[in-house]
Amino acid sequence: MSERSEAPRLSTRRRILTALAASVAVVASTLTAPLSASAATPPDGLTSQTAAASCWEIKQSTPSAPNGVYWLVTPALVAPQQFYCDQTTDGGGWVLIGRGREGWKPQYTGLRSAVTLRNVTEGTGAFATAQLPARTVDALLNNGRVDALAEGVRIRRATNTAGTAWQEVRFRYQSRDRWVWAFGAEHRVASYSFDGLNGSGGQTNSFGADNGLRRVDTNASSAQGYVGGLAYGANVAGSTSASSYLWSKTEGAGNARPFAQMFVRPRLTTPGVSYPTIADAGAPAIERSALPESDAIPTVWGVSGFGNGKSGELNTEVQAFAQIGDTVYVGGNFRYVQRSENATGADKIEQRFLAAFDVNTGQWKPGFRPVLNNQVKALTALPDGRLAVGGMFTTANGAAQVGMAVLDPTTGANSGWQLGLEHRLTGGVAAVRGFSVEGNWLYVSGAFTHFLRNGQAISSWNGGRINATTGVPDASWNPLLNGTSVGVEASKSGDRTYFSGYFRQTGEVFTPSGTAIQTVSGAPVVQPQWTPQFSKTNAETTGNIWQLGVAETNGRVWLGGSEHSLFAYDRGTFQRQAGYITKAGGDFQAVEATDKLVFAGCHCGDWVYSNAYNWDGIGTSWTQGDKMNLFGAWDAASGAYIPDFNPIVQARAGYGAWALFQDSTGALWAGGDFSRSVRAGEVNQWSGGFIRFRARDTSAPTTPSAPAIVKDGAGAVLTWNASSDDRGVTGYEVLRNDRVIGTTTARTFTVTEAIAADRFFVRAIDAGGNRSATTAKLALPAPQPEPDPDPVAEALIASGSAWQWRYDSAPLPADWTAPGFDASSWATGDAVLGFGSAAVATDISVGAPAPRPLSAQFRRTVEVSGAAQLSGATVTVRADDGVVVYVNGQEIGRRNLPAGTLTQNSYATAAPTYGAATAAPAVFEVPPGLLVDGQNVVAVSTHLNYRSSPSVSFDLALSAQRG
Amino acid sequence: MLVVVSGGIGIALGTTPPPAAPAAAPTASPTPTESTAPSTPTPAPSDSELAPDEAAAAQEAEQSLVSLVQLGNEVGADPTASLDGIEELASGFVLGEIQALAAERAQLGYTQTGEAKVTSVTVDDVDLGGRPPSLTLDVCVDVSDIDVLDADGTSLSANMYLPDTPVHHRYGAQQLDGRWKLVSHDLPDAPGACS
Repeated sequence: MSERSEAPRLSTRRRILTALAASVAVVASTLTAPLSASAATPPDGLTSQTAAASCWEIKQSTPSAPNGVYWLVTPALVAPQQFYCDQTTDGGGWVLIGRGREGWKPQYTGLRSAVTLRNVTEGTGAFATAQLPARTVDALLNNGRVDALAEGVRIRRATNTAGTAWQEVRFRYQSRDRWVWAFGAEHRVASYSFDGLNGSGGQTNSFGADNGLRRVDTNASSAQGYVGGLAYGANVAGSTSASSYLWSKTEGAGNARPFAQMFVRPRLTTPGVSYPTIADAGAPAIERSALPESDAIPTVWGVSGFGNGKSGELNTEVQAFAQIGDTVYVGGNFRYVQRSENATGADKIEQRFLAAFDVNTGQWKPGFRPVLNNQVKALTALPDGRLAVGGMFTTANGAAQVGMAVLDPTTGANSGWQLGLEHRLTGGVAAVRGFSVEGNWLYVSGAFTHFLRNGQAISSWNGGRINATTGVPDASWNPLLNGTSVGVEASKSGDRTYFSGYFRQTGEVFTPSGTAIQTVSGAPVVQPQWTPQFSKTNAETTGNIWQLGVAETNGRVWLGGSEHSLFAYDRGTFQRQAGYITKAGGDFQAVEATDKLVFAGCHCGDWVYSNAYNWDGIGTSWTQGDKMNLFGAWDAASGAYIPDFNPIVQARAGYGAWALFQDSTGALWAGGDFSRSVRAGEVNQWSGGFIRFRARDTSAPTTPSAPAIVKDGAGAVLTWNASSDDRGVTGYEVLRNDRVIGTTTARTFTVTEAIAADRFFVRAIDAGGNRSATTAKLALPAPQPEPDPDPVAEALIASGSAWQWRYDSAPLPADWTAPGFDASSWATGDAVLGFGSAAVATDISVGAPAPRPLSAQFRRTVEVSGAAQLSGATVTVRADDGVVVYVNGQEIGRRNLPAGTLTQNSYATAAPTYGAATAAPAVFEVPPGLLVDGQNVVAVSTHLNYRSSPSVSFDLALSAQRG
Repeated sequence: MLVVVSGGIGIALGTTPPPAAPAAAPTASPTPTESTAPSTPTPAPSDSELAPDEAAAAQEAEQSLVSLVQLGNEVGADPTASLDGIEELASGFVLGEIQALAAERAQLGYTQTGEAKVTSVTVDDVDLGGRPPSLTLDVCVDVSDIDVLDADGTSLSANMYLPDTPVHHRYGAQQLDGRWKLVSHDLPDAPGACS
């Protein structure tokens, strides 16, 4: 890593010191005080240590800066990264955030790598679309609002197939706080321009002035194979040619996808941003929050086919998960377990409806071979370690088991107590739809009116609970739901259980599609009563109204279903606190919650709108429009959608996620009719019914140990011992004065220029973006202070110096002692001044008026530099007969004179002889601070004791100690 | 308790709960008709132990019940069938039952074949002085002709409760807005009343 910029930094400092020393204006204490350790070199973006806050800052400090790759860093970006800056268009300062032809993706995580994006910006090699992660774009704005960008968003697009003509587009959002790539959503456009022609209105999915070149259409239409782009209008045709700058899926098709670049121009400057201060003890670790990775785990095994021969929405391959020990059970309507998409033979085994897989490896467990005759819709681990299975089946391992069975977790054989279901309503079809275990109760949702235990029917309408140890249904706890329940969630607090489904009432209480029931005997409804709300007005009792998923976490109850709604309610008041609507499709069908996350699945592939409550018109008061592809994640604490989790998946028929489950490792299992997924490196892979997503790394590496710093010429070398991390250390960040200046994979870092005031820290990083706690401060030893020089006596006014003087009986001039007084009319003569003595050099009596004046006045200006370094300044003056001395207008002392105001006719109070006055001069201390740099004035008035005094004399010396 | 059998449907009017076994079994099979509507029960006889106004109330409630069962047949056969008028027959729990059934069946694509038939009705607990007036109907429903098919036409009978004897339902009815409506529904654990 280059340290080129360090040399001028220190050189500049030395020049400053030299200059200050020359003027004797730097006190010794300043020499040892901490200097400002910030780099003196303006951020030029040429090295990580001189990273700028924006391309714009570089352009301002270096107007000649060319287009190219520069280092940028902001507090939100944390560590310097390289980006491509357009420094020539419209004043320069643009940072490239995406480029490509067809295949722009709405995912928050961006596409391809930042290296690819910045290094290949033009030409056919740049056709494969690359987009920065949205969080990186936000970091380039230092998390500032996107709609606050002065120039909005800039698009540069090719307008012909040869790429020889280009168009400049600008658009600004109506309201956008953070960056999203979800242009296909209903983000409102405030204004736009095409090559300077202005317009307003529209949404990011389509805006512009015509249906030709002056339009941006970001819809991924079926006509274009659902391939996105920053397309022109329908009147602009594209080509299928690999080298064409205008692409269409079919030759000549409209809405051509042009090669395009996207820029923003945040006007950040280094002085304008602030980094968190790091204490000398170091900074704490920075760990990411829990969330699955968006890249799928490579497929090991999957499921396929249709166990009951049906392929509809309620017959998806996977519909339930559960874990016991190191085994994850997958239930649904599949027929086979298989290793790969086209597996045969031993790699494709018939195992209908229920199979077991290793939680860590994903390997199928062939020892678990239950035999069911229809699909599984619910699974859970019982407290005693057995597996409860629910669904549409009527036999389990050959035994009549309507809707429910309890199995051995290793073999899949029936194990222990068993019971079945009856649905005695006319045309009722008995099935279990969900399980939830709390304490020793197994709560059951589904379609039934009775549990059947050892031939005895126990009434329990569309829900109930069973003693998990004995298998005995609780006859005293009948929810009395008047329709099928689907979701069931027993609150971890043990006081209540939630059901969702098709029902309208809980007993006599109106609870449309969602209810909270106390766990006490009698199953009373929780008060205050929960009356779920719906996304369609007055839809509580009519239309396609049902709620399928329900979960509770962090004081909120989440309910999802039709129409396209996922709402969160306060647990205590049941006031609705948050709302999410998917659009264009579809209904939510699975909701699961952990302590930290909420997952929800739907048959939706487009957008999820936050703080939206109505469908299908979502209005304009929603706050976020993000991409959501069949399932998503929400933060359990805040209730906010987490756009960072944005896997790319495909479902066989678009039925989406019907089961979501986080295993003991934190990995997410998403089940439904999934057929494909994308794993790390944009690798498309087969997925059979379910997809696994590893929990992202949330553990920071250990802090580098034994850090050290040694001086190395003008710089320093930092060293440290290796850190460790559960998934591996990927590097170390070196910080200087609160800011990262470099990243290295080595355990040493050379700073070519360093001063003692610099505060260095080192921390380890991992691939997941976790940062260890930093080391404590590392710093070079402070330089040995220069020994204090011996104080030097400095004569500021020597004896015998020349003085301006007056000897007159006229009143004293106003302000005659002040520095600004004009004494140019006074006479000038060398000391000793006076008369009546042989020592007198200037006889002031010559020409004096008669009678003889009683006093004489003297002034001298003295130049002082480095006044702050002076101490012990004293005036030595003979008092013959009386004398008063002023420095810069302030009296510093008088002798042989009366107190009070003196006039030209004031008499001295004593009459010492010339000899006595010379032998015992008056010495007055000059108060500290009275002398200043520049001109200072000493003014003196001598007075006679009596008018006929035979002699008068005056001389004065001013001296001080320096150092 | 007085048991009246007429019109192919056994109608029992009484003021005490029915015994485990009915005092009298239906003496005739339900009248087959070309239409989907069941035959209308004959009004309660004049020699009922109920007062005339009680008998009239029982008659009206029973008619609501029969219409409701028929509506259930229609919704079962076609979940998109209109529910217009259901508010005239049912309220509260029972109204929601039909609405929930329609919504679920529409999503699942299930369809019912055959029809449920009311084989007997016993009226108990008539309280015309209550607010609102109320009574209880013990109903036997023959479901032997019913099947439910999934969206692919496969029978789901294995998951259904299809006993050899009619199924015992107990409905509560109330006179609301001048009409007798079914408002509550129970399925006694022991089906003996209809066996």
